[in-house]
Amino acid sequence: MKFNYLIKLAILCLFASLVSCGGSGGSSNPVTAIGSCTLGTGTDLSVSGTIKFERIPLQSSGALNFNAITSQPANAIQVEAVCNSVIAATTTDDNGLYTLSLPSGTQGVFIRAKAQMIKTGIPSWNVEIKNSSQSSGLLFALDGSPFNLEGLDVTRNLLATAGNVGSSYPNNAARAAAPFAILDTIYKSMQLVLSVEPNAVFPALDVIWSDDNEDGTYYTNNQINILGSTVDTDEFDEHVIAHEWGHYYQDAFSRDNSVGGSHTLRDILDIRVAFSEGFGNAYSAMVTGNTIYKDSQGLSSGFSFDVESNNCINKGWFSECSVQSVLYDFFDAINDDVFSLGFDEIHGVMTSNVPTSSSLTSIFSFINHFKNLTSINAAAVDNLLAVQTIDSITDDYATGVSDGGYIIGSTDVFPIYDTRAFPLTDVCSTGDNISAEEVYGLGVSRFIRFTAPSSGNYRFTANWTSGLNVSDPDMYLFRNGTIVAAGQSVVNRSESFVSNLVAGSEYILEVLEYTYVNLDVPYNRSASGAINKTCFTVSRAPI
Amino acid sequence: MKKFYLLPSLLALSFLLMGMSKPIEKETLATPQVQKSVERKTHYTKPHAGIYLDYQRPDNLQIDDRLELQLNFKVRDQAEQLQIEVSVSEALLLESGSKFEFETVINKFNSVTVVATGLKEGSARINVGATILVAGRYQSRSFSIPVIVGEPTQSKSTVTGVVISKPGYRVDEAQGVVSMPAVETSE
Repeated sequence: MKFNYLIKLAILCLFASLVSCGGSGGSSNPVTAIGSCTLGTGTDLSVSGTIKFERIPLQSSGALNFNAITSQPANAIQVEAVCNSVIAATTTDDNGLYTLSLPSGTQGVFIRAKAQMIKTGIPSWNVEIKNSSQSSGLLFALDGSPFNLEGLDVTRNLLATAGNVGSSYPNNAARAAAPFAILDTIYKSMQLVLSVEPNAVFPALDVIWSDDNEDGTYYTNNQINILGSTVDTDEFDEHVIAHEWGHYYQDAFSRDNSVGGSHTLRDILDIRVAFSEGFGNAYSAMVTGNTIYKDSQGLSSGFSFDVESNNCINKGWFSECSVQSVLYDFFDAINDDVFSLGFDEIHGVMTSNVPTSSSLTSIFSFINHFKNLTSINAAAVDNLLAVQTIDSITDDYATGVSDGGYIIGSTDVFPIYDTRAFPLTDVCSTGDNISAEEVYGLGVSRFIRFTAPSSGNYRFTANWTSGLNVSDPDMYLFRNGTIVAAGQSVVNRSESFVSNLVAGSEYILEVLEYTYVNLDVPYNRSASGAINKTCFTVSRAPI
Repeated sequence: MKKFYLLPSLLALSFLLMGMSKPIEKETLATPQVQKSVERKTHYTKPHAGIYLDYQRPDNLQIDDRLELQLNFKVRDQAEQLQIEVSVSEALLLESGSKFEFETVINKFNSVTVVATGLKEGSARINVGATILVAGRYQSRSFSIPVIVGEPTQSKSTVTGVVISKPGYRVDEAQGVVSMPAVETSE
């Protein structure tokens, strides 16, 4: 027992000497002692203070501004008093303040601020920032140094430093501010929802970060992964974090049929991707109150664009730029349109209408219901859409909407929802809009809309008729926006699957040429001999 | 194999809940080798500048081995110029230039050859920052290319749940945290 203690002490001393070499100019505490605390038996005393973190703001270019670091309160985070184990816990208020009661006579206790926001009841949430590298999955925590309680109330203020020296990050210092900066942006993101739905119940969210994380910044399945490597740090990039949280919002409170992937503002995207990403961009501006989306790159560069701008390069219903411009105009009070709605109506449609539509999520399934709200001037909506060369939207299925600004390549992408009777000929998938690896371009997937004639099992088949010599058709069957069946075989030129249909129910059958979106063998639409149009006959037969 | 759909879990769930759809026909289930190995997660990523990098992923290096890696950049915005800045992590020695600049032509590749030598065993990176000037505004995109030198192993020491693996952080598996030191004041 004593031997173990000595070993621990030796390691802690070694570790303390290591961390004392780094930091950003403050006097960092050595690593907290473990297992050396004695709980007192006296009357309760108050231990209080503030938990703060350093924020490195971004310049207008998006680059990190190491010369303008500020200290900000860490709101709504978990604070614990640790005496061998947790002996008291609380949550910081909106000023980062906490107060704990501990018995007098306690010796060797320390204060721990966990990178976690948790609230039970109504509203509720649980957000945790976890480590992506060493012992992955563990929660980040900011630890103070041990102290004794000897009959007087005490103040213990903790500051999480950015870990920089000048405009670089030395290898021997923790970037302690990062988890708390991420939580701060998520806290702001949650506030926008709470402002219109005070009783919101947020599903648990894990955020994965480390200072060497190079796995990308993305959202998937109640988890946000955030870059930390100095090649591209995102912990202080509030728009980026709010954008990803916007994907979490769509997943948690609405519905998102997007297939994800890489994207730029000028891409001609699948309608699901365009809406999902455009919403994320608009949401980031709503949360931050800043229309200039900024994303630092490396330690001295950045990427930025104006969410409010109407000057999209490829305007249309397939453009995330057009989507963000329209959505933000509904929200903002900037006097370039008649709308100044805030988030209420947007949230209402996102939570009530978009997830219940039989169609797939897109600007069509949003705008159609948004226009029908009694508080909305439908003609003014049409005017905003017209600026983005989008025709008036009158249903969830883009009926009557023209190609707008889309320059048709080898394949016509219309109709967006095909309602012809089975068997359908010339259902054509196109690689024309695969602008780069992982970009899910418009027209790869074609959508067939039908109502089941009777209940029972049906076989769906797609047979190649022209296009790529080696063809890999795939199909997905949606009912109320949920995939209920699929065919994903690698059989050349053919795909088939069986599903049970419910009479009178509406379905969407998605048909695509997988070759165009196969990430293992990225498709090059410009390569010599590329065939950017592959067509199928799609049939449905009862069995 | 990575794919865009979060499918099979949804399929299984809908199959269980609805009891009326079977996701994949029996014959196919019986011969899973003809099915794709589908990536089930959909990744929603952040927007980026219209700069693309194409390269052949480098093979593992041995110490003193020389790596010549051609980086092909393509720009899709109407940019005035493309600037490239290359750096390497400490297991590599960069022997070629680190800064390059091109007059851009949309959708035409601009190529740079990076030369580096393996210095010591480890997981190394070739870090690339690419910047374009679009309508007077600089837009950057960062890339990181992994390079393995030798056969590195991760080392860390453990004593009763306390792991020291990286300066500045203390992993305490017993308490379920990665501890970071605070700057602390008492006033």
